[in-house]
Amino acid sequence: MDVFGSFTLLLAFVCAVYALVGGIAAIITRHPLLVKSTRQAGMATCVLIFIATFSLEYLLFTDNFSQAYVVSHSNRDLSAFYKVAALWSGQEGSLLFWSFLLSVYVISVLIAYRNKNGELMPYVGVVLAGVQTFFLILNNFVESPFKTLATVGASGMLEPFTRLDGNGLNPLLQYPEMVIHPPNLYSGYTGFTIPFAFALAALLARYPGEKWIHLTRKWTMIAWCFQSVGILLGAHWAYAVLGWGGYWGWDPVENASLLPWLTGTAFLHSVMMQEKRGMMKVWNVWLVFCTFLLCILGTFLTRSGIVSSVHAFANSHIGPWFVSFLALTLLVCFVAYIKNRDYLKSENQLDSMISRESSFLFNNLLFLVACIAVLSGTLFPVFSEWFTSNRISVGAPFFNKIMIPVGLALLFLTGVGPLLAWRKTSGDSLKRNFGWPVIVGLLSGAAAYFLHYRDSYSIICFILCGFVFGTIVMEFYRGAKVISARTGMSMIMGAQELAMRNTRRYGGYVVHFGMVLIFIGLAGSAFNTDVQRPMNLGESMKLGPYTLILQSADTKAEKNYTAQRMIVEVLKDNQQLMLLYPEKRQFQGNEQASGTMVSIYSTLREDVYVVFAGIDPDTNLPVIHAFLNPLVKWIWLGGVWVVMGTLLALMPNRRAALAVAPVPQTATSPIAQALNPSVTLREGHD
Amino acid sequence: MINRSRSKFVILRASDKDARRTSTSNNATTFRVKLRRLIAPLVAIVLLAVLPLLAQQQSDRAKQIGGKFQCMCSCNQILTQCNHVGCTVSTSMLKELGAMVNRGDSEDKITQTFVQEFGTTVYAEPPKSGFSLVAWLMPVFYFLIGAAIVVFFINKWRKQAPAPVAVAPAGVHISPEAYERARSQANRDTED
Repeated sequence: MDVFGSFTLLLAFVCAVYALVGGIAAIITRHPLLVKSTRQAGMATCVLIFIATFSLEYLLFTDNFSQAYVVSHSNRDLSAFYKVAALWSGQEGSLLFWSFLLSVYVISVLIAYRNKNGELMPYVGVVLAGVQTFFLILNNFVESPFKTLATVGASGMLEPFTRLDGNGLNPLLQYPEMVIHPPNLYSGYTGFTIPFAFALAALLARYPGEKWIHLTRKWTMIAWCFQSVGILLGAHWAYAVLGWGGYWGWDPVENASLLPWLTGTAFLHSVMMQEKRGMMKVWNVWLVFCTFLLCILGTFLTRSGIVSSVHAFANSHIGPWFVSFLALTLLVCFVAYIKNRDYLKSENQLDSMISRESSFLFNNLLFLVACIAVLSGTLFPVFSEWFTSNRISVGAPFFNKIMIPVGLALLFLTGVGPLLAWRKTSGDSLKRNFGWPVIVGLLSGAAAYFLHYRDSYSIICFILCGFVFGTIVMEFYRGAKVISARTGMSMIMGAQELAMRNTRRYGGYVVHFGMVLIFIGLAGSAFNTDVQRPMNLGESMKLGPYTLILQSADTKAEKNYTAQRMIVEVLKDNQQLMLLYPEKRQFQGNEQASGTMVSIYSTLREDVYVVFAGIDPDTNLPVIHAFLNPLVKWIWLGGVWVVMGTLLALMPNRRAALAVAPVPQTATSPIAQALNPSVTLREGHD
Repeated sequence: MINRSRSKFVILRASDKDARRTSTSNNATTFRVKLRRLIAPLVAIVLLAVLPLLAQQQSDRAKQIGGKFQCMCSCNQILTQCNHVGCTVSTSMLKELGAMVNRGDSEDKITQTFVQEFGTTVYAEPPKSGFSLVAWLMPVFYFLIGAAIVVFFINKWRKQAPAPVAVAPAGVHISPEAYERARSQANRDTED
């Protein structure tokens, strides 16, 4: 099976090269057969990559310990669930998984548009084949997952060698979320290849209008959603497994995943400017280019060892390959832009500073500043080493100081943006639209103060969360009221009908609501407290309003590990709430491999987060580290709303039933009103 | 006799004085003993009250200073937050930090000691001096440059905007193409 897998990967590479070179030839010659054959080659590439990926999974499932990858990342006792995850737990496997996910997107695009957009698709095919070729070079010639173990035999020749068992999967990865977090994140990274391919193709082909944006809108949202979920799952994994009491440590690998998310989010907003006003065409194309380049850069940072991280892959020699690919892609983008920049001529006109357009510009500015600040902070240790020969670290305190104000400003714009009309917003409209949201915001701030969340940034955050929530509710309320009045539906049904009639707009608001919940959760982190101490059995310790009693300890033997477990009783007001079981796991096959299992009592108000931090060498007592983390649950709830909002936005609009009724003629003709571009029909909406 | 008696008297007086002195001395001793007895528990109470406060203060200080360093086990975590299983690096660093804080070393001295020992990678955030200042200034610089660009373009685009079209009088006739154009513009402005 290893030879088969290796062969299919090689064949996939050949097909990808054909799809690339043949595709370029097809564009030049416009020969229909060549166009068709390169498309087929593109699809064959994907199918062959699928087969190679399943071959590696087969080797993992059959415990084929003659394979270096299987030995390094699996063992006999590893459950089937984690054998699936072993595919992406190592450098070689995860690169193959990258190719696999990219192939899922590529084949979907090739099938979905096989009879459409004939002018554009050959270009798209070439760009996608180019990206696939790069990853297949890595899969075949640099980091092949199909390496057979060999030893020098008695004859002095290399002979195949099979180990009895493998080293097992990294304990940190043996957690359910680790099975879904990387696929989500990789789906985000790879998904941004599609809008990139369409943007570059549209530029190269000088494809008319904004069609490439319409074509890629859903792909971009899918990639963005996967990236968001991947980031949140990663945060939850860090929270529940690493046991340091937090969910985001500004680790270079975390930062790498955030960078394309920031530019991708900026793109999702600024693209509306192009769709509605024909503005910012150059900006949008470069935002897509940058998002893709940041995906590649993120992959490079995670794998090259250029920045140190606790959950990066081991140092390897793939760095120069990634740098070359990045440089080549940038060059292609730049040349395509220089050659065809007149195609991107925008209709840039702005009627007023106080308009939706301006808010999008500032929104993009903040996203970009955040992105560049995170990127430069992540790479600063490398730069400092180059310039001063001293490596200066940039850790969480730096990023928090920079990103909290930027995040709050973005939250403010999340509330302001929907209240501003396209083109121009009048003073009356501002008063009408801002009144209630401002009141809700101030009430939220006051409530936070009286609930003892008294930190300046947190109070500002709560005020802004209330403000944004107010704007979202107002938007739904106004629309639902109109539908309700016209159709006689209840307000709730009206709101549902409203959302289904314009899924993108109201899906966006649901995503914004999810972000509000996330920000509430983030605001709570200013009030985290913790206690750590060795404890005797029966001993108690206070943690805010809670009392923790170490009831007992036991040992639990599982198939793949042995867990030392503490049983901690949680009481509040002398009432038992629940038992928590923090544990420390010692994995078999590797004496060094041990992991923490945090136990959490989670409520909307706070998390009681208990870690068994080991045995105190002086007293030989178990050390219990307990954290009281307020509002963390809101972050995960926010993530759920973000997904629901994106799913809603991906749905097709429901057509409104037209009610034909005589319209009374007024002095001013409605046609004439429609002609006046400075008057918007629903000011403050959309 | 007189002398004697005087002397006796004197002696007597002397002994009286002695007796008085002895009695005063005894009183003083008693007082001192009583005071000591009173002070000892008082001191103990004060110490019992203050020592934990001092210890708490020192622990808070250690936590505050420790928050400015990274654990050197390459986990990229703040020193006081690193709790990797079996992480010996953070344990020894925290012990060293605790000893320096207990000794009353200044924050600068502690920072210097750590930097000498581990290099500049020990900083959790770059110091606001020398080359590291660049890290702090860069985001501000990006923001200012970006904001200037945004304001520049907003002003430029506002100048390009056509003058508002006057509202057509009632009953005006427009061509179907113009109507369609206006309709699509209105749709773009208000829908989706």
